[in-house]
Amino acid sequence: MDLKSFLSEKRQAVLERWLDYVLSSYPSQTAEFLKNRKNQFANPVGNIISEGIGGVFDAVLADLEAGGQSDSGVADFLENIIKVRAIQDFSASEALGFVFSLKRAVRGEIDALGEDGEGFYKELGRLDGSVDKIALAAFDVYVRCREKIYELKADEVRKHTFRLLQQANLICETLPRKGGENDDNPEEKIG
Amino acid sequence: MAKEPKPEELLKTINYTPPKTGWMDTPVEIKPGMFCWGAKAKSLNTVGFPNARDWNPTEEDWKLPDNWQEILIEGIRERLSKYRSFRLFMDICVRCGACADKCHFYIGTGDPKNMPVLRAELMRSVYRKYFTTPGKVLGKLAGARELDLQVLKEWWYYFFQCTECRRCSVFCPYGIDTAEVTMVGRELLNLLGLNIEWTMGPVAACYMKGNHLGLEPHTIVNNIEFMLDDIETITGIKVTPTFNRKGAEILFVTPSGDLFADPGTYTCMGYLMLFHELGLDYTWSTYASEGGNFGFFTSNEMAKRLNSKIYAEAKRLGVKWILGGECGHMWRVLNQYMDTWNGPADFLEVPKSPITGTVFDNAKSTKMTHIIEFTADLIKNGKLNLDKRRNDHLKVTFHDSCNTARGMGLFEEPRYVIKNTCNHFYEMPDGTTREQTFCCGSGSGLNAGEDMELRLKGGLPRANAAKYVHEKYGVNMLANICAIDRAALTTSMNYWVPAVGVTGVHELVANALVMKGEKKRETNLRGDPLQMPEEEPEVAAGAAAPAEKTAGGKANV
Repeated sequence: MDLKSFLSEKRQAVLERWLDYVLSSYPSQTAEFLKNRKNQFANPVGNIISEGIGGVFDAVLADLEAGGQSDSGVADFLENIIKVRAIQDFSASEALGFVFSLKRAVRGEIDALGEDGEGFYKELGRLDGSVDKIALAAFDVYVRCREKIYELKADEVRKHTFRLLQQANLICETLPRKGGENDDNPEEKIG
Repeated sequence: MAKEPKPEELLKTINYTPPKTGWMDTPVEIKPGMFCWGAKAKSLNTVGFPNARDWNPTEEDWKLPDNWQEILIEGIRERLSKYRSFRLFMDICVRCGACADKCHFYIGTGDPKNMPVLRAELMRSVYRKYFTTPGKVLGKLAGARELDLQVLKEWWYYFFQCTECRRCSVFCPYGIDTAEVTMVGRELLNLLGLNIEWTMGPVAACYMKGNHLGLEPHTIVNNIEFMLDDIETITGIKVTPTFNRKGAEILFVTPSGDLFADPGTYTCMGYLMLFHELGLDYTWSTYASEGGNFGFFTSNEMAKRLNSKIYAEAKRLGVKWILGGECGHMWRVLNQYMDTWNGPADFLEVPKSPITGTVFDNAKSTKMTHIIEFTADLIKNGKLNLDKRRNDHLKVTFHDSCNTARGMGLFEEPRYVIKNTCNHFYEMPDGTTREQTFCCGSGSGLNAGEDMELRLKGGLPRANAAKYVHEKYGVNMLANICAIDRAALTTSMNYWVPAVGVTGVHELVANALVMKGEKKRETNLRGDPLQMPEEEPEVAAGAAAPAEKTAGGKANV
C-alpha cells in the first residue's frame, strides 16, 4: 500500500488529529465548543475549520497522486479558514501554523502503526512538499485578508466624507455610481 | 499498606502541560483591533460627565481619580437600590451555561470572557465581594474578588465587547437580560470618565446640535436637497418636503445616518418619495434631527436627556403624532423607555394613518409609529402602485435587526413589505432570524474603525448565514431596517460575502413605487441601469405575497 492509499483509508483519523492540533490554539472551553457543536450556523468557526481542513487534506492527496503536479483548487477552503484566523487574536505565524500541523497529524497516524508503518516514511518527503506548497498559498490568502481589513477601514472613512465633499463641490463624479454588488467604490476626482 | 508506585509509573503521571489558569487569574490584555479609543475630555465636558480627561487605553496609567474604587462601589450600591432587575440579575444566575455559546462575540472570538455568563460574572464577582455575606467572608471560594485595577480594565475591555443585542437573554431560563448588566457596567465606567469616543463624540454632538453627526440645520436641508436633485433626475418628479413646519399632521424622525452615508441615503430617498406620492402632511425637524440615541450606550440619564427633544419638538410644532424611520436601537429607546422617561405625550393623538384610516393602537401610549408598520398597512390596503420587476435583479434576504426584533417583535411587517416590492425573497436559516437573529456585530456604539477585527468577528455568525443563502439561492442583497446595520453590514458583507450588498427596505419600496406623473425610469436610486423587460408594467397594488422559500426548501405562504 502506498502512502496515498493509506491516507485515503485513514482520512477520518488524520483529520481528527489535525483538527485537535488546530483547536489547541483556542482556550480549552472554546476548543470543546468548536469541536462538538455541529450546527453550522450556531458554530460557524468550528464548522469552517472542520470543512476547510477536509478540503485541504483532499487537495494534498490529489497532489500526492499527481506527483506534486496537481493544481486542484484549494483556494476556497484555505480562504474560508484563513479569513477567520486572520481576524482572530493570532500573529501571522500562529494563524497559518495549522497548515504545517498536518505533517504532525500524518506522522502521528504512521507512528501508531509501529513497525508496519516504516515503509511510509520514505514517501513523507513528497507529502511535506505538498503541504509546503499549500502553506505558501496560505500566506497569499492571509495577506489578502489583512489588506482587505485596511481597505474596509479606508472605505468607511471615505463613505463618511464622500457626501460632504460632494456638497462642497469638491468632487466631480464622472462615472455612474455602482451599487447592489457591494462595489460602492465611487470613482471620484477631487478638484 | 497500599502498594507504592514504581518510579516509571510515577513518571507517566507527570504532565508537562502548564495548568490553565482560571478566568479570575487570567489578566486582561488590551489587544489592538478589539477596542475603541477612550472618550475625550471635550466630549465628556460637553454633557457634564465626571472625571473628564484625555486618556489612552493602551497606556498603563488611565489617570483615574484617587478614590475610583469608592466611586464604583457607591455606584453599584445606588443602582442596586434603584433597579430591582439589576439586583435580581446579580443574584439569580445559576451558571447553567444556556447563554454561553449564544453570543456572536463568543462565537467569533472564542474568548471565554465573551460568554454572556462570564461577562456578567466579571461584575457579579465584585458584587459578591462587597454586597453579600458569603462573598465578604469566603472571598474567592464564593466566587468573589476585590475590585482592583486589573478588574476595572477587564470591565472596560469586555463591556465594550457587547453590543447589547440581547440574543443571550432569549435563551436564559431565568430571563436574565445580560445587556442590562452591560448597560449598568458602562454606566459605572462612565462615572470614572471611561467611555469610548465613538459613543461620546456623537452624544456630545447630539446634545449640542440635535443629531449624532453634529449636522446644523442648513446642512440637514442641504443634504436632503441633494437627494431631491437625485430623485428628480431619476423620476422627473420634484419632491418638496418641509422643515420645522408648525401645524403639520406628522413629525418625521429618522437616524441622522440616513442623511449622510450610503447606503442609508438611498433609504432616505425612499422615505421622501413615498411621502410625496402619498401627499402626506408631514414635516422634518432640524432640531429633533436624530432618532438614534447613543446616550443609551452611556447612561440611562443621558439617554433620557437626548430623547427629550422628540416630544418637545412634537409639542412645539403642534403635530398630531410622530412617524419614525428605519432604525434599530432608536426603537428600543422609543418603544420601551421614551414614554416613562419623557411622557406621557398626552398632547399627541394615537397615530392614525391619514391614507388608510388605520389606527396604530400598539403605539397608543408612545404616539410614535415605525415606518415599516405604516408602509405595510399602505400595501395591505392597496394604496401603493408597486412594480416589483424593477427589483428583479435582486435576490433578497432579510436581516432582523436586534432591537426591532427582540425589542418590539417587528417580524412580519418588513417581510411583507419586501415580498410586495421584490419577486425574489429567501429566508436565512432558522436559528439565525427573528427573535434568534444574530447581531451585525457593531451595535451599541461599537462601529468604529479601530475595532474592525472585533466587528468582523462579531459579524461572522450573521455573515455565515447570509453566505449560506447566497451560495444556495444566489442571494445578492441583504435588506434590513436599521441605520447601523446599513453601515456595519456593508463592511461585514464586504469581508465575508462580497457578492451580497446591503439595503434599507424603503430603498426597495421606492424603486418599485410607480409614482404619479413620473418619467420612465432608466436607473434605480443607486444610479444602476434598470434591467426591465419591455412589456407593460405589472402593477401589483397590495398584491398577495409570493410563496416564501425557506432555507429548508419548504414553501410557506
